[in-house]
Amino acid sequence: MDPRQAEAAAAMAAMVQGERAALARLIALYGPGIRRYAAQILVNAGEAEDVAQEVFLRAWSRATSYDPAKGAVSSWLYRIAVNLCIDHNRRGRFRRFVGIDSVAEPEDDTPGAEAGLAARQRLALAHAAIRTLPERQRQAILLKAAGELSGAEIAAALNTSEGAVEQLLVRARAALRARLEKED
Amino acid sequence: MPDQKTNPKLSADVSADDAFDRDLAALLKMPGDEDVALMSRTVLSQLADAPASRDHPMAEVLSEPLPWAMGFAGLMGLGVLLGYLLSSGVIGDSFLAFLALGDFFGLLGGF
Repeated sequence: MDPRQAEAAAAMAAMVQGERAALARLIALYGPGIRRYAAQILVNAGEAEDVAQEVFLRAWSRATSYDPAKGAVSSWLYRIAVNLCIDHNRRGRFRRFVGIDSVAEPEDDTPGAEAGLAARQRLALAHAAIRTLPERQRQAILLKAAGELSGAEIAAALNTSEGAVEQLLVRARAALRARLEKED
Repeated sequence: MPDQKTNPKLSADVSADDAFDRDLAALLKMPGDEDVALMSRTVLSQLADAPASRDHPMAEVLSEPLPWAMGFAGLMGLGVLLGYLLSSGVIGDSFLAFLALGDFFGLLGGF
C-alpha cells in the first residue's frame, strides 16, 4: 500500500472514532484532486468548491459505512464525488431550465492573468475536448488526470473492472489526442 | 501474452499514455489549488453547526421542487383512488348506501 493510501486508511479509522482532525487530514490528501475533478466535470465549474465540501461532509456522516475490503479510501471518496457531480449536473439542468441558474462564465481576475493567457487557452481547449467525450470516458480520464488515481482505484470508484477502465482510458486518450491535434 | 518488458511497442505505448496523462494532469492543475485551508475550515465549521437530525432540509425542497411536487401529487392521487375504491367497493352503489352517505354529509351540514 502506498504511503498516501496508508495515511488515508489511518485517517479513516480515526474518523470512525469521531476524530475531526482525521477529516482535515483526508481533506488535505484528497481535497485538491476532488475539487479539480468537480471543476472539470460539473456544467457549472463554480460549484466545484461546494461539491468538494459536500463530499467530505458526507464522508464524515457515512464514515461507518466505509468497507476497506471494497476498495481504497480514495475510491470511496471519489465515488461520492462522482455521484454528487452527476446529481448536481442533473439538478442544474432543471434549475437552468426554469431560469434559477445560469452557467457561470469562467473568470480570472488574478494579477498577471494575461501572462498565463496561453496556458488558459490550452486549458480551455482541453476542457472543451474533454466535454465532447462520452460520460464514462470523461469520468475515467478525469479521475486519472485530476484525481491522479490508479486503474484499480478508478475501477472501484466507478464500480467497474480494471479492464473496463483501461478500455475507457484508451478510448478517451485517443479521442482527446485526435481532437487536440485537429485544433493545433 | 507479451508484457511491457518484452514488447518494445507496448512499452512505448504505455510510456506515451503515461506522458499524456501527466501532461493532462499538469494542465488541469491551477496555481494555488493545492490550498485546502478554506475548504477544511468551512467543512469543520459546518460540522460544528450541523443540526442533529434533519434528513431533508428545507433548502433541498426549495432547490429541487419538482420531485417533491410530484411526490405530493402522487400521494394525492393515491388518496383519491383509495377514496373512490372504498366508496364504491365497501359501501357499494346501492340506494341505501347513498342514503347513508346523505345522512353522513347531512350531519356535517351538506346535502
